[in-house]
Amino acid sequence: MDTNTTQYKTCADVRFRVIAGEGVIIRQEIGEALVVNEVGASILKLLNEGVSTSKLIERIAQEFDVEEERLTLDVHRYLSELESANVVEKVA
Amino acid sequence: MSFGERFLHYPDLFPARPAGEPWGEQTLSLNIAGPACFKGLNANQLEAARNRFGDSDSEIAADQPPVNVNVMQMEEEEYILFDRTGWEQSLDLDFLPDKVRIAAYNFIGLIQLQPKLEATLWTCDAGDEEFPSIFENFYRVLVAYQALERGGILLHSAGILLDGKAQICYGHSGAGKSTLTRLAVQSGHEILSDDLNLIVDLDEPQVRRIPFAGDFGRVPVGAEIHPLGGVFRLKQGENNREQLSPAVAFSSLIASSPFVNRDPYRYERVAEITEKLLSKFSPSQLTFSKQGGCWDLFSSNP
Amino acid sequence: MQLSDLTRKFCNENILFSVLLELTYRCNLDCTFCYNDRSLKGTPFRFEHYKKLMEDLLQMGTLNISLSGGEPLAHPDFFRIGALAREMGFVTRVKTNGHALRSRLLERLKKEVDPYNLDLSLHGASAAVHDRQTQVPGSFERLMQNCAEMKAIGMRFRFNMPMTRWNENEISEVFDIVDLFETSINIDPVITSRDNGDKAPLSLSSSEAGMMKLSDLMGKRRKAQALKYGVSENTGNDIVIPQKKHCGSGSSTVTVDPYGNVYPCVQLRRAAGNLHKQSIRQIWEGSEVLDEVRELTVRVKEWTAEQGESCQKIGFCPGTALHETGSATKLYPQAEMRVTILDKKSVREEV
Repeated sequence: MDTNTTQYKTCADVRFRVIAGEGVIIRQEIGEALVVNEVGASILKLLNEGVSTSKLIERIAQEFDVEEERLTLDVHRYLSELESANVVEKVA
Repeated sequence: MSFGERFLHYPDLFPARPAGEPWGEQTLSLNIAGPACFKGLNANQLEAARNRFGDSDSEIAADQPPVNVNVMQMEEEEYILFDRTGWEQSLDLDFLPDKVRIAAYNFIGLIQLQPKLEATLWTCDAGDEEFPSIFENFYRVLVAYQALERGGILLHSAGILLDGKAQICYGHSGAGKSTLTRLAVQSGHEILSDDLNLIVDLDEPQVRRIPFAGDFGRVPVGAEIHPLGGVFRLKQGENNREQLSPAVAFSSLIASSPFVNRDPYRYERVAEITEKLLSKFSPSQLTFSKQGGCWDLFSSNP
Repeated sequence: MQLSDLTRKFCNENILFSVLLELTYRCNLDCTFCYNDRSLKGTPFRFEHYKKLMEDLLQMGTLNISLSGGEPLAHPDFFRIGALAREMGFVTRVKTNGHALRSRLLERLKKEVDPYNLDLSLHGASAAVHDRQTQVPGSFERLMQNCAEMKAIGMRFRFNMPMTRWNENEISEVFDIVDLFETSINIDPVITSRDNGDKAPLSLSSSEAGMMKLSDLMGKRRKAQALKYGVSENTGNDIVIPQKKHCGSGSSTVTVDPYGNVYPCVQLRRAAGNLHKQSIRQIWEGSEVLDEVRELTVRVKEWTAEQGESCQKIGFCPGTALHETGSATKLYPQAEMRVTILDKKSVREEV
């Protein structure tokens, strides 16, 4: 599993906006649009700001009032899903 | 090298229609081969053009609708900058069935010939030092087409007034136009232009004084017009005059008709007008000596 | 939630999702039916103005930006504007005639702007027809060469084609070109008057027979694609019809002309404000024109429902209706023709 020090960023072809509380992801290479919920939108927004995974978990936990420990596993799973979908990639 | 590549970073983006931003709201009316109304100039451009060409608004008769010329802005970054030391302005012309495109240093132009004659000049020069030459280089092409439309012809030639008649001595660069003009000035003869002269009204050919000239004859536009006295192909050597064969006369006259002589779509018109001129005047070859003494040749029989 | 549902939501809630920027009316082609008002004057919008606009749009959550014209590449700041849109994370489309997009210019576009998509204007399937409409000899051949080059470097593009009396007999061959480049096409059967009211382009409007043929051909293509991809044959329509409103004009989209005038959309040319004087947020939130248009699109939605199924299917455009007939709820001639065709087809299918 990735550690909390791993940092992700959105892939070069990905365009992302939070609009009316929803996250809209456009994958330009394949012309695909994804819509993510409020939590997903917050995660991507923080990644776009260059926040590390550990800081990201901390911020999301605060924002949505969830225990950090419980959230860690979910965030890692979510990030690897986004990575498989070529939405995010690890920062070298 | 294809059209415009010498001057423009992206010649493919050359505008195919007269659109863009005018420089200002000033208008200049000039009449050389017919009335032309330059619109969209700023105050500096107007002054620069007026200083060079005058303003012949009063001359434009109401029954002659002017050719509208829009002057538009273009950014300096669109032109390729290059060292012009020892470089002389030369134009890229692209002849199309209904229009002619011009690309040059610091300006591009579009002369729409169909359905009616109108033109656009795009330049990055806001009326500075180079504006008069930009304006003139563009206007020369327009005048050639305006003359063609009205049945006249612009000739690369020296125009000299002898006994009230205009003698037109044409020839390629280096044939001696400037030398002959200098000799004429020294002999006290009046000069029309040492570079370009306009022959109009071919039923009774006349020469109109135009402001396109090299060292001699750079005067503003005027209404001055003179009957045509003779047409001569120029050569330097011992003073002599001999008749040109019709075929040589025809081909050498066409060779001296700038811009339009390279236009494949307007060739018939150029040929028709040249033939009409030849039906009135039979050009001679005029060989002249730098030492002078050639003036009697104009009135002698070959 | 699907993106289509989301766009309905944006439209219903007046969220500015897409902006079309007409950068310049200069063009390197001279299409006979061009609707741009070339005599329009004003203070041209330059890079600094677009930068401020995009910063505001970013704050407002706008995702899509279309760079249009005239020919957008003819704007002196095109690359700076496009690169900034990319840097700010907008999904950028470029509506271009493609004539100049080869070698160095194409490489620059890919490298510096990296648009999501190019909308290329195609006017026929042969040089005779395409060049006749663009009035630039060689433009068809050039476009085909440029498309091959775009495909080779992985530039995404699709075609846009205004259908006219001149190209309506080449639709089948046009589809062959579309298939050759493995892309798609949006064929617009409606030619409109110029924005300055000049009705000359209307003489090129396609005939009823041409529209009928287009309708048949598109039906066949949809069926073939449904068989090939195993999807419902009704999903071929690009137009998302929002729930409360007929379209997104002034509700999820605006158009900005080269002088900063803001319109509800590309067809509805009622200026809602000017960006030299107000910010986009001030116009979006305070313009009476936009409020009126938002109400209008609700009324149009109700009106088309009253007119029947055919009227709802034709992609009726209130802006065109207003421009051509003076009323946004009145069928303009080409819409009327399309309703007739659909009615005839539905009778034929019933038989």
